[in-house]
Amino acid sequence: MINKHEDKFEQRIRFVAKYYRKGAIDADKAWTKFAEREKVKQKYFLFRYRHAVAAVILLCLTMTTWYFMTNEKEEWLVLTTASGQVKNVFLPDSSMALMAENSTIKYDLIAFKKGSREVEMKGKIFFQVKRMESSPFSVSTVNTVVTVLGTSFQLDEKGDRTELYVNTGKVAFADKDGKEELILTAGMSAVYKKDEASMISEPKDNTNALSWKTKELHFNNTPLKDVIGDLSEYYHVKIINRLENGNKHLTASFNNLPLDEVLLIINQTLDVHLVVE
Amino acid sequence: MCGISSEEFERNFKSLYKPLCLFSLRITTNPDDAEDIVQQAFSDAWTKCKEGETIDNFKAYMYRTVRNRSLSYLSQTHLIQTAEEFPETEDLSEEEQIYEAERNARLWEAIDKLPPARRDIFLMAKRDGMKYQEIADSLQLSIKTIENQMGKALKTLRETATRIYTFFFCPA
Repeated sequence: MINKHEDKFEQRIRFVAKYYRKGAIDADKAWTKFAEREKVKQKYFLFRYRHAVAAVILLCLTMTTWYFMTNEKEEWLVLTTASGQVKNVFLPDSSMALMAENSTIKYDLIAFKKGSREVEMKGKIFFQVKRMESSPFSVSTVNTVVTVLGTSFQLDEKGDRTELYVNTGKVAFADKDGKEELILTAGMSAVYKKDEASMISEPKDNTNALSWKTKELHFNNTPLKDVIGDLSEYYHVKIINRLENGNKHLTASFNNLPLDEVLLIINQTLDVHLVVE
Repeated sequence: MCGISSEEFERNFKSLYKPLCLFSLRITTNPDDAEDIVQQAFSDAWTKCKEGETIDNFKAYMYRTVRNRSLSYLSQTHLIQTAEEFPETEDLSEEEQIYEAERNARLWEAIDKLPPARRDIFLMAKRDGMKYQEIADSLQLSIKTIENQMGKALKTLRETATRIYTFFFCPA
């Protein structure tokens, strides 16, 4: 029995060995030839290895999720000033924001530290931006966006009206849609009016744009109506001239004086009658 | 699609190709012709599939086709005239012939996988019928080395059969 089995095995071996040729009768090669001849649609690589592909995608998704859950947390910081309060705030990049009363500044601390210098604001804020060529600093109000590299400027957002005053350097002032954009340099100011959707560079005298911060008002041959405007803005009151002789000019400096004293001085100097309405 | 997709067809092709070739080789005794016959048989099956014909028991169908074609190939080439010259496979049942073809296919594969030097020695002995001493002389190796290499080669080939037995008897 064993001999017979061995004999069979020997026979088979001799049979196969007799015809054996290296590389002949290869199923994979034969299939390639067959598929080419018969134009068998070979499934795409991705389909053939769909299980592996699915596993890789799943892994990527897991890692992305994990990444977002651990790293991409946002941490919003909101700072607000009350009525009559002025606050000096330093941002993580050591840029400075001087907030006038009733103003709000808001930014994502994590994103900011990563180099995305973006803040949102309401009210009136004077910015002194640390220069960083690689990451522009941008301030958004409801209607506008200001982008700078490193300058100081002031944004005064009053609902439908946003005023920009550039103290030093150069800024880009744009509306939220990006339709209008102005490039402004030191000393220039511009205003965005929402109802007109317009952005106008104003050549007006900006001497007193920052007086809320410096507590100083300077007038240099300034027309009386502009004086009244600046005083109204600074003291938050409405001032009118009781006399119809408004075509006068004032040259004066006031350093943190009470309103009634200022009015008294102006009235005596110019022979006008300014009162708080 | 004769009830099978093109991937399934590919799987069938790859698992049946070698056994079918060795099955045909028993009759045709020519590897190239055996391969041609099997390729052609698959082509025809493929065409049937595309035409929407159903093939029940694809494996049995392929063996029948290859067998018939191999025999008609023989009569065409006039290599055989008398029934006595038919190979001894005739006294095996169809099932046994298929089983033998499958085992031969595994032997072929095992020879393929032998280290080249060992394979050369093996082929000189079993294909060319050389004695160990003759092989030793022609390769300028000691007869011990030849015996050693042959022992290892035969062990490997025997294992291809054993593995199948263990698989059959202990499915775990």
